Amino acid sequence: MVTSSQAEAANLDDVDLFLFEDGDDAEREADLPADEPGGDLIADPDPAVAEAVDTSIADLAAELDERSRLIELNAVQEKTLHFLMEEINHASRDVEDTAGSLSSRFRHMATSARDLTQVVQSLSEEVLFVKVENDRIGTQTLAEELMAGLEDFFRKVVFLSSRGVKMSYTLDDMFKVLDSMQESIAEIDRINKQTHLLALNAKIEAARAGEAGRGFKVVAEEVRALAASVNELSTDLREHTTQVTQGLEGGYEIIKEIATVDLSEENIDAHSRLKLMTRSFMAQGEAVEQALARSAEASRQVEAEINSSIVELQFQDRLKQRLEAVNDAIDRMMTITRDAAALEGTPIGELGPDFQAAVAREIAGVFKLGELRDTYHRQLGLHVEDRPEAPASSAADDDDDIELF
Amino acid sequence: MELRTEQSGDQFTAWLSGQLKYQDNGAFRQLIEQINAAQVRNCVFDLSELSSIDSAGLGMLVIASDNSENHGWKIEVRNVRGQVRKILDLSRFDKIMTVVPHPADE
Repeated sequence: MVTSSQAEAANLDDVDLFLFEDGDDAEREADLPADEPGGDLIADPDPAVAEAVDTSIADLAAELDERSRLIELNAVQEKTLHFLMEEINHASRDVEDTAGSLSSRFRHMATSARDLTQVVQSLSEEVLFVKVENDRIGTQTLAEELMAGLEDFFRKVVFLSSRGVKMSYTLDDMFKVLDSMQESIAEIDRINKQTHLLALNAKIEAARAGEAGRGFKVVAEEVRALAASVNELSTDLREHTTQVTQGLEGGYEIIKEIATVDLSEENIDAHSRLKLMTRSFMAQGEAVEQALARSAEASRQVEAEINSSIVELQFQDRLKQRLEAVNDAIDRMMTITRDAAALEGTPIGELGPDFQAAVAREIAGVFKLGELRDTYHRQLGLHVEDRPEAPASSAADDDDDIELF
Repeated sequence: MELRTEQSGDQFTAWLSGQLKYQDNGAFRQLIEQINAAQVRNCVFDLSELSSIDSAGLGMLVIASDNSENHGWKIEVRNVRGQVRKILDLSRFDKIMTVVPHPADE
């Protein structure tokens, strides 16, 4: 009981402030056109209409006694509050829907960002590693091995050449030995010729000695045969030595080919270019590695940002709860006011719908968004098109609504 | 290859000019034997006038290096330039002996 009367008292104060502060109204009349300099969504606040409404509110209020005025005012207030509560619900739903769709979009984006990170990571694997048989070798290692291989190749060429040169030294020594062998053979030939001559002389001397020299003749014949054999042997030896010399000369040519690798300017330049290319390749590999690492990091950051955005969007729930609390408070306030009004036992039939319509139209002027204002008009039964005649038609609707209470 | 040598105390210097090729191996061998016989501590091969070298020439320098180890003298290759320097760089001769580039070939 106490609460109801308190609510009523509060209502009375409110109404007093709203209705009878003519000075404020006059100020608002003057301010309205200045505040709204021809916006597209903004209703044109025709000063003449506004004045007419104000005048009619004052006139209509004067026609009613205080109690009726309060009850009618309460009716408009209740309808307006219903309208506002619906608007709050509507806005809350809109925010919820938008937050929901934003969340799902963000989740998609987070998934995409994660995919991107994986793609970048696998790309860096592809770029930085080469599959050789069953091993995965880093391109860096590959380039280093290539360089090491190149150096090793050169070292082997040099080693081979030095062995080749050494081999030719050995061959030179062998040629010297063969030369002295040839000299020895020539010496044998010379000695053999003398032996042959000696044998011949011995034979002649034996013939001259007659019967006494017959035995000596046999010996001379044997010595001659021996000299012929030695001659044959030395001829064979000379032939073989010549063959060996020829063979070694062929070997000398082969060793020269082995020891001599073309190291002309162009050839070296080709190798230098290969070295340069390998270096560039390594540098490029490093640059790609760094770029990919940066890219992967960026993707991870994007993913993290999106995830925190999703978390922030979940605070929409709090907004919804707050708006619901506002609606609950309004609802509770209306119930209390309604209870208080019922206690007064005011006969509803005596209410004046013209006054309600005038007040509603005044409130409608607050809504700058055309869509909102039209909805308010419709809900309170005001005709937008023919504003001056509106009170009559709205009065009937308002009557129906009021009877519901 | 043309060759000029000079011995001054412990120091032996050989100026090699022209081209160092396989055909020079006989002359180079004599040079090495000459250095071994001279019983010096240091030997400098001045290559400032050497215009080109082939792998056999590199092989001869390696043999010179082997001999220096076996006969106790130090080898140094000085004033290398142009193609000779490129080849010595490429085959990392600096790993087996002291290689000093020509001042004008930096």
